[in-house]
Amino acid sequence: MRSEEDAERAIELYSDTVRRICMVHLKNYSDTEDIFQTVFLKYVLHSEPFESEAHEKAWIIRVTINACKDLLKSFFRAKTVPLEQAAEIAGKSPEDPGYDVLEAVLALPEKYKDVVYLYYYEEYSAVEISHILKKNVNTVYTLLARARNLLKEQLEGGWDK
Amino acid sequence: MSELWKDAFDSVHAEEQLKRHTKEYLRKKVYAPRRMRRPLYGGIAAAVLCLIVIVFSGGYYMYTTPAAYIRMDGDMSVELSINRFGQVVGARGFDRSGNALAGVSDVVHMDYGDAVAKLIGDGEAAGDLETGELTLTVSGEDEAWCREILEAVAADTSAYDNIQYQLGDDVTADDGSIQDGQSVDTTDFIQESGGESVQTPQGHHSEGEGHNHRYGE
Repeated sequence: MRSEEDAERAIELYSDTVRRICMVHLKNYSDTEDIFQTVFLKYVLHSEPFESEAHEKAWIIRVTINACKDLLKSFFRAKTVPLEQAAEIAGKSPEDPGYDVLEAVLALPEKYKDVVYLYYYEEYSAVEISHILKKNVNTVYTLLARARNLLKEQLEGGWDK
Repeated sequence: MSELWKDAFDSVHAEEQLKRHTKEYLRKKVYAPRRMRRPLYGGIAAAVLCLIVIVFSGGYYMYTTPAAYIRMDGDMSVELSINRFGQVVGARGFDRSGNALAGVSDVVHMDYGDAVAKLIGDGEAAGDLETGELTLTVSGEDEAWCREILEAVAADTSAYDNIQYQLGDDVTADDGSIQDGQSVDTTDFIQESGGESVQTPQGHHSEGEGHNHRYGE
């Protein structure tokens, strides 16, 4: 079990990353709090050492994505909210830069959101994404290609790869 | 990273309240219970102590509770209370005059066989005993065990010729003592000796075996 100091260090270092993944998947703030508690509890209880900070971050990302998916599978959770509400949850308004991209990402089907976020924002390679998400690398390429097409349609020229 | 993505996600940060709540959650869930674990250890220690007390109490109860009685009636009258481990846990004795026999309590905590042998031997040495017969009665709830006791005592006292052995009904009073004057039914195990070769239930022959003498001589 990790120390309290270690836990606080991890929260300061990775909370923004966890928050962004939650924003992509979740619909409300209380779900985000649940995910935070789940992810960092697992982190504290994960006794095996990480090879590097990059390894640690990849582990946090995977646990967060899995926790979000588990939460969404729960029968009692709301399935959909309006996109505008989802964007507002992220603290964005239509006038803010990047609002369109955010809205477009939130509009994607669930299976594309993670690969898009990890590829375009976190700048992981497809191979790295395949390791994080435990998917075949060709699957990742396919998902990225399809997501790109959907984003192009959504953003219509405002899209910059 | 394209500016669009940077603009979209850079401004998304975990709220301070969110981080604070998460830290508090971990503190309560993981770190605080460590400090409260001492009472748990104390609780475990108390439980172990209770278990020890219960075991010892149970053992003490089993040790002190009579499970059978040996009564010797003759020139003296002695009652021995025997626990389930074969140890004497109570002893009372009176001479013909009704005076308490000194030294009877010496046999408490002895094995019943040793106790009977000692009492018979002491009775001989003290000269309290005149010629006559001794009736040795074993009684208790477990007839099979009483029979076992009787056979063992008979084997131990086979050197004496004038001892009668019998199983009795459980004629104990509520306080565990054998009541004077209460009749006991003789059962299928009665041995009479008169100097002739007799076979004890264990197949021991008394004739010519060791120091063969009449009780009280």
